[in-house]
Amino acid sequence: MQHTIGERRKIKEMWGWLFVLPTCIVLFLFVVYPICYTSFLSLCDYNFAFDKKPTFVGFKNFSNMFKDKQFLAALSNTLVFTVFMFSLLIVLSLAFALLLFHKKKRSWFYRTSIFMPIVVPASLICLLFTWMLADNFGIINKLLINIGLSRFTHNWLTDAKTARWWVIIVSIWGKVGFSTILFLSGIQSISQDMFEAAEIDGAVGWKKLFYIIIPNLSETFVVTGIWAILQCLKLFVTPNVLTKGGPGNATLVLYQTIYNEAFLNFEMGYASSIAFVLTALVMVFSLINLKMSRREN
Amino acid sequence: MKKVLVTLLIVLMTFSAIYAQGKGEATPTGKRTLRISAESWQINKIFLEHAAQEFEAAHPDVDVEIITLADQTVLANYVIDWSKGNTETDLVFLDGGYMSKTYAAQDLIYDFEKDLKFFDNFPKSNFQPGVLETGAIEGTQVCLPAIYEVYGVSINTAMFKEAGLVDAKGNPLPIKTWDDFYNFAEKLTKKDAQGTVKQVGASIQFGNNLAGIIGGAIIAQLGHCTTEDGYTYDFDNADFRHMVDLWKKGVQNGYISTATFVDNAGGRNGFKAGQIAMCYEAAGRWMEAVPTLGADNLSLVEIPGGQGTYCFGCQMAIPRASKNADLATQFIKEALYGEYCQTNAFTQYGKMSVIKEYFEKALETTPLWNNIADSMSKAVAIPEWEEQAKWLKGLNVIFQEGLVNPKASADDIVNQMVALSESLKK
Repeated sequence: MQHTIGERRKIKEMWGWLFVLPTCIVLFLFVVYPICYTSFLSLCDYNFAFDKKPTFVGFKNFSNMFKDKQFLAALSNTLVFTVFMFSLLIVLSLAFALLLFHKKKRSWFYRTSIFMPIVVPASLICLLFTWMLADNFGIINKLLINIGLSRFTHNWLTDAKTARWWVIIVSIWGKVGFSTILFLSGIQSISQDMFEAAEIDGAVGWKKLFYIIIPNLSETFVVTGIWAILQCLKLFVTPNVLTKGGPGNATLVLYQTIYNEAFLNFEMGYASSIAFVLTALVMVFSLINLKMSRREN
Repeated sequence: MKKVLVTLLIVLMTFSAIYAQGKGEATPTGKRTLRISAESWQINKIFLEHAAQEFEAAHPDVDVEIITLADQTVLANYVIDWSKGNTETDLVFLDGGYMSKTYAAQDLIYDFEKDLKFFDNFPKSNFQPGVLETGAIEGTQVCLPAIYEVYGVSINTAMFKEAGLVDAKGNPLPIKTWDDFYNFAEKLTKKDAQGTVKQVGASIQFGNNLAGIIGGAIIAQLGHCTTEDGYTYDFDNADFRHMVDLWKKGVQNGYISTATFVDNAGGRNGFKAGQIAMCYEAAGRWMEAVPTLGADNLSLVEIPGGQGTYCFGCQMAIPRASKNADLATQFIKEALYGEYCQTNAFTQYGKMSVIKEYFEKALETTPLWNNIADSMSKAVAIPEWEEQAKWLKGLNVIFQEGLVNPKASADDIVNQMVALSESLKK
């Protein structure tokens, strides 16, 4: 049977829709529907273990948040961790990428050392650090005692101040490999001619870094920046395994609060409202990063 | 041809998706499958794999599948599954009775007595006195304990001897009061010339088990845990305030370890490593230390006060959504409550047998448990609240912040506990 051009186009379109349909269904089921349902739950009082159905309470969950000491502690910790972790992650990964780019001898050793933490499960990394940093039997305190520096031994994870720093250090240790890959690929994509021309013009050392490499990495900064912001704001495994959010609330973060409210306290409504605050934070920080990168461009 | 192939692929994908959804009911061999979910420590220390093998050997038409739970928070998801009539498990192990209250609130689990007639051919008199109560909620037997534990103070006797804390026969001096506990911890703590602690006097579990620690301390002091309402902890009194004051002084002077603030196993690991002299938490810790310290260097004593102790069970529940409740009860009676599991859990890990006959047998091989026999006979469970997780998290924050804060007094800590207790649903 012969089809007209219009009919053929319609059939082609139909097949197109048919192929896209599975993706649309998946997106609707796993993205659109959960977002809509979470929005609804964030406006409800709903303890899924004890309440039969959600009760609409308007913005009560959002107003209660600012009276909740745990939420406030988690919000403040998340922001502090984000600022420190983001800055350190970007600076360190750029430094490592430059090292790998320039280091030709034994480069396999440096690459392996920097990338290895990526393949080790984050929870395992945290468990290892928990034992290494333990007050009474940890290898770090033992080492300090054995080399005669016992005055520097410390309750690393049970002192709130040092616990915060260790959460940052361990998180960076586990994530820096990936951001280094992003920067390294960015540096490697800069044309060799540009480096040679710059060298002829006398741009060496720091000048090469500031006038050639960094300006040419603007796109990489956007991608790595957004990735790093997400990693910092959605920090969960490190504080949850390394310190359990403690001592007290010293290392409690927003993502952990959402998890605790939802799966320990069963307060799905309240957990959903905190999830929205976290989403808003991710968007705000990502926009700031995007704007700053564009301005530099 | 291309279109036919594409259509065929779509049909195949649809069928495979439908098949994957419906999988799990019947096995190709026609055998029935009993699915048991438990945490890894429960699988190892209660010898669940051995029990499964024993049960399969006795019932060739049954496969037993053990599902390892990552942690107890996974159990919250069962509420959603079970309320829709679905289940991935037929028998679930719970660490304490906290989740059972949640399940029972929505009538998601069977009553062993009324629904499953468990005690018709397995009389209650088989059980150790008081253990069945740990699995009951307001008189309804929604859970059964697989094993049970009590709290006590495990001690390193070699360290006691070195510190001169022994009687004429060389036995460790009794720890009758919390003042004794504090004084002993002070004497057992070793510091170098620079003031660095090299050996810690004691550890108290200030982490996930803090509610049990507080409950146990109150029971040992007063002989009961709660006020008349049966839910509120009886801690608003001078005895408890004095106790907290001593804990606080101990922490600030370095006599009591803070390792458990962030690592639940920090205290017991320090004890096992020979770094901590006394360990107040589940009484079985001394048995865990036998491989590293040797049985001759270990002992077990009652919680100061000696009026009793806190007992809790590792509970088992059967979801109403399960189609294999009959198999699950049979498994409990024949395999879990059999001699192998009940005796070995006790003699190897200090997880005590709930079956009277095996409890007494196991006690003969580990007579050290007799040190706390009096306390054990007066053991009491602590209340499980509707907002138990909030209670526990709140206690952790109050103690972990208060104990190390030189400006906070014991009164401040107890007053915060009172306010928290009053604010929560019980």
